[in-house]
Amino acid sequence: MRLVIDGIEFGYSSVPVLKDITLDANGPQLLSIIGPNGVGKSTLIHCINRILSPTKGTVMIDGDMVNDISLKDLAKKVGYVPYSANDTFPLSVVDTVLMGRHPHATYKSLDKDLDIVYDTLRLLDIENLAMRNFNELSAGQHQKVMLARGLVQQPEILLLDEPTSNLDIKHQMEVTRILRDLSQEKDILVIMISHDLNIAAKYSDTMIMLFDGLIYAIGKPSEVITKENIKAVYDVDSEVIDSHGRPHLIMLDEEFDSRDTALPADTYAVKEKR
Amino acid sequence: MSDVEFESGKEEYKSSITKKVMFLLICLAVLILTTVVSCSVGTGYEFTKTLEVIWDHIIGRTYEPRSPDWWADYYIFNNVMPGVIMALIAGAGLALAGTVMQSMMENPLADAYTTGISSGACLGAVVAIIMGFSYSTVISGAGIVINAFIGSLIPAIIVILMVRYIGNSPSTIILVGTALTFFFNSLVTLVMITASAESLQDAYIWQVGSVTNASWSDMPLMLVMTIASAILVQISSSKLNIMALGEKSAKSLGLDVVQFRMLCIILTSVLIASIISFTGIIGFIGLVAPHMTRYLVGGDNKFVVPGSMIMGSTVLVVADLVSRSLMSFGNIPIGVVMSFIGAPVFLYLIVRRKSQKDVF
Amino acid sequence: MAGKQDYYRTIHKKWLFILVCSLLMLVALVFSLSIGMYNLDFVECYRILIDHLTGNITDIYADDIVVNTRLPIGVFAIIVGAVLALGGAVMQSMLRNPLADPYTMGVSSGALLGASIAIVLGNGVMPFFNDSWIRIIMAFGFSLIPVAVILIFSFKRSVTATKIILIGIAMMYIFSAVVQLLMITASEETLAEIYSWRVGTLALTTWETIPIPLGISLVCGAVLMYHHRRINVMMAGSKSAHSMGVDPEKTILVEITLVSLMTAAVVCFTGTIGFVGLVGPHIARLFIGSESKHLLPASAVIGGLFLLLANCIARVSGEYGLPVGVISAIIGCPLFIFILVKMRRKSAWN
Repeated sequence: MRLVIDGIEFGYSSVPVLKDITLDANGPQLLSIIGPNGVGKSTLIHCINRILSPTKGTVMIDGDMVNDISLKDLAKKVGYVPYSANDTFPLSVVDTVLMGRHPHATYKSLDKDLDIVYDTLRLLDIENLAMRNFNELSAGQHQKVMLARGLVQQPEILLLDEPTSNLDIKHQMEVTRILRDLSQEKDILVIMISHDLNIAAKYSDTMIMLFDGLIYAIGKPSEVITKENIKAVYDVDSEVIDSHGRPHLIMLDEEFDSRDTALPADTYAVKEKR
Repeated sequence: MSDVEFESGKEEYKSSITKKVMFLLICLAVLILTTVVSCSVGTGYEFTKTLEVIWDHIIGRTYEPRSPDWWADYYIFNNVMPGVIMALIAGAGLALAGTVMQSMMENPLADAYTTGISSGACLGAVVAIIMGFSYSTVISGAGIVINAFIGSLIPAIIVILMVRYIGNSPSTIILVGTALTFFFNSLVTLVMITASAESLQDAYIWQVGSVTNASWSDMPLMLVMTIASAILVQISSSKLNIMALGEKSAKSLGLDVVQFRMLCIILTSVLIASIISFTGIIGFIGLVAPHMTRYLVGGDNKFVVPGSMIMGSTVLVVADLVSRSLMSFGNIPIGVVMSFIGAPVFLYLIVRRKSQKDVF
Repeated sequence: MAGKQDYYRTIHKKWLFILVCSLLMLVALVFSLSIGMYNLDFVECYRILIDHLTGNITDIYADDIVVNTRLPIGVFAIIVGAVLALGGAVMQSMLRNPLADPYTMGVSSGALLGASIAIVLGNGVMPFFNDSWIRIIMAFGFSLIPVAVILIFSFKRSVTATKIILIGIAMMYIFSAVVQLLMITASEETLAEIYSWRVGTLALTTWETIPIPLGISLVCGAVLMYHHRRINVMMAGSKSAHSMGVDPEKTILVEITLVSLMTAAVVCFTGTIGFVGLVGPHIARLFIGSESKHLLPASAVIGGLFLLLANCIARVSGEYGLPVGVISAIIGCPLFIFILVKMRRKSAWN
């Protein structure tokens, strides 16, 4: 699958958000998009699956312009996992994930659709939750169900908007690793927005750093996560070390780090009670 | 921040306060002017003549009975003024209640009728008008008022009791209030559908808010409640500000949210009950006046409270003016006028809010 | 596969429920024939029906009451109840709002305005001309104005889902204000007539008034149920629905047009009967869950059953019977409160 974005621009009324984004992404991989708040990461993703229409430029998937494909056909190629799920009415996990089969489903495809749904649930290790009510699940389980819903669309490109933001560290790693493994196993271009630079750097194949409506840096994690880039884009001092071939970011706060922040010995009010 | 910046920051703040106070005073002047204009509309007396008559009356001048001046004085003060003054007080009271509810519910689209008070009042009034049951032996204006008053407090009491058992959050209150509104409305329908055409019309006319049957004896209760509430609310205006920040923030700033909310509900319920028992259900003021005020003086309740009272009075006095100038087309009560004015304004508010936050 | 069997089992349970309710509905229909001022036995009604069908009419008087008066009312109660509840289920799922009902897009205030104008003109301008068909046509026409405005708007420029709802609310307020004006300036009798129209009644149903609303409802209802999957996907929210291949704006436009058309077709005959469209889907949801494929037919069946029973109660209440709209409101309210309370515990809706 090949995603080609050529010179897209987007703005809300007169405020420009994306100024000139051009990129060519090929083949199965995990691609993370990082950048400061409000820089347009979600906007970029929404331009790919046509939720938003760029004011200039084109988005092409496998040589077809995104605007020329019907919405249903687009849904067969591009899956989307939103930031949070907010379901008003109680629905079981299976029913929730089944929704994702809509682009492919016909009136007699229920059996095949169910097979695919259960396979995906097993893959993500949540098969035991199948008949449970979606609203009763924990945040980590929510996220996996949303991911399942995106996967059953059998997309070539999967877009995720901060899939690990409200997960604990174990689940953050678990979900991101699954995304990376899936991208290879199922031949998917996985594009993920992330705020956690280290997790993204650890598992991604490529990283894109957005800043001021443009692509500031793009390439392998070790090329993108550098002291200079972090300072320029986030205005944060840092040190980057190597962890098993991947960059790991250590944040520095010069003023605080040089202080002596120890409290007087007798003020430790939290003690173990005997 | 350097000292110079600090001082000029303080100066800016002080001058903005002065600006706001000046603005409120101007609004107050407009209100008084509008009131006098309103008195002259539909009476056939010119503005200057009306002004003269009112001023003379206030300074206590009396006339020879049945002289033209005496008639003017009598007419203005017994027929026209009660309605105008009632509109003034009702507008202030309803706007005040609306301001409190919006801050307390942390929801800018809440209004004072959210708890079902209006439906309870309707039920009380309708029962009195159609079935002749009343808590007083006098089935007349007073009987209806008393019924409406007691009726309006029933939903309020239910809300307060339910909140104790189910939970205190604004969404619970809105939920219970909505359900109660439906319920009491259906009871009202039941009573009205079994009524004769004549009493049905009386009941319907009562429901659609009007001030045409006002008399000076109706004023004391409304006026006392409104002024007392206004003073209480103005004193607590800073607490209201904190409430609007959200429950967690309010608690962490030391406010007993549960108790305060309860007090607010009780206060607004009694205030509104004392108004709508006389006027019927006048809508939109409690919703729209606070918003208009906030647009002009900002969100600090210290200014919004008196501001929305003035704004509410002005709007309702104008509505009464419109209602009376349309007298030649038929009796169009103030409630209907407010529907026509209030609806577009309310819609504008929703549009502005929804476009700020894409709720869908 | 083990998991799949669980799912199939639940589906079978759901269809069973719908079947049982349908049977209950038929039984209730025959039961409703026995209720009224002229009391008949349940078995007797059954016998009268059979007699009528075989052409062997014994008691002309009873036959007339059962077949010509009560049967059409019962049948129409089922139709109206089904239409309102089905419409309510679609609106609630699509707009993701448990307080939505088929009247949400201004259908009720439009119908009321049309009927009010007809009543006022009929009584004021032409006091002898009290043709109820004019009232029906006016109510039908006016109830579709909000939808028409929305559709026209959407052809000229693209509308978001939010804008669509706002236009509906706007039209509702405008129409309500005008109706209020009409009612306040009307004479006593006119006001009483308008008021009782608004409450909603089935008492005026005859066999002639059934075919048109039945036809429109069957067509619209069938299309809506055919669309169950896209309505279901709408429950995930605008963005998610879009990414699963469902155009939110287009879907909302199409479905509310269908719901409004269907609702207008029945409401112009009966008046705006409340609560069925609101509470029916919620009751169905308690038993069936929110999955649209089963929720839609279940809501229809439960709506029909609800209104049928409400009509029975209405017929025996009060001196001459009460309009069914009052009963549906009085039963519907506590039910609604009960369901809301239960829902708050079950779902994350806060």
